[in-house]
Amino acid sequence: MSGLEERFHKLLTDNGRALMRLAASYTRNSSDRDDLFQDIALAVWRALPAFRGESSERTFIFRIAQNRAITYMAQRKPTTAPEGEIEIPDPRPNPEIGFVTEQQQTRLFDAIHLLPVEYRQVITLTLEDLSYAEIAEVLGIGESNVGVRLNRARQMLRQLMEKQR
Amino acid sequence: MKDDELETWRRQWQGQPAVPIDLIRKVERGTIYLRVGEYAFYLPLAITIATTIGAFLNPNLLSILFAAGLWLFIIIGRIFSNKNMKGVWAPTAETTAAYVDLSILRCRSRLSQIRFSNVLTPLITTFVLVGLYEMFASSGKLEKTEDYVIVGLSFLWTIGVVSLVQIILARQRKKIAVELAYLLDLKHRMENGQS
Repeated sequence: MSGLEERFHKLLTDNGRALMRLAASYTRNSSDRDDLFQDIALAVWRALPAFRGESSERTFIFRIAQNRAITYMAQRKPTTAPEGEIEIPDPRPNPEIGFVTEQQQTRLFDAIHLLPVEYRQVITLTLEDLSYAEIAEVLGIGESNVGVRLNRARQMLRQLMEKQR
Repeated sequence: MKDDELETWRRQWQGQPAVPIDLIRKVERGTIYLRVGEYAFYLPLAITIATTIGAFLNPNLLSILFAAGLWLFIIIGRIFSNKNMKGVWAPTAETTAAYVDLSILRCRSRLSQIRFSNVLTPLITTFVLVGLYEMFASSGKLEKTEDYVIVGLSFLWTIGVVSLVQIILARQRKKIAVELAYLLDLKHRMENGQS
């Protein structure tokens, strides 16, 4: 295995689950999620030779992932409600669905899915333990802007999750 | 309070269980079978349409009644199928729980389908055989003994095929019941946090 392949393999091993979660937050089913994940992995593989360590590998990989996700969304119909018009999907038809823990996770996941993209980006990166500075670097915005968006994202998430109860 | 909230979300977010790939594959395979089942509906529909066209071309009470009877079975079958297939096409979320729930729903749907088929298939077979016999008899196609023998053997062959299908369905029913019991047990263990 070449050095490049090794780095790529390590990057995916370390961040694979996080990337899969990120891909899932932009897609609605497993096959789309897998497609987006592969797309991200391919983009990382292509960008890796040019990466000289100007930023951390984590911000490097998340920046690529966010860009691919945005491209993916642009190629498909929008699934988010416009800002200020939060809509909740119809209640599930099957009352048996969901176990207690997974129900909470599903509620959070569904609510994140409904956030406008700029808030979804900030909240998913926050939930992946990225600092304000790292998020600012990934998204190319100021740290203060990250804080503003995060506050708004949390507020919207609370509302959405409350409506889903 | 707010940081606690973020920490809770973070735990829930990072704790999202990856749906086991074999469970996803199993559900995807099931979806293919469901689609095939949907397409299979078009064969009896085509036969019914052809019978209706035949009844219009050679109108008589028997052929009209026969076509109407087939339409009745088609409509009953469709109404049942639409009700029975509700919610079985895709999981409501990308979680293990949702995939297990979908598998349980599909098992129940298949069991209902088999029970329904156990009732409807003999009815349709009897209706079609009696209808065909009456049409052959009234059109004067059954004159010699050998005509009766050919028709009798064809009917016996048809009844044999239908019986074989029923036997296969009965065996499937047992397998599905075992699978359902396993899935319900799995769901119970997941709810109680056991491995």
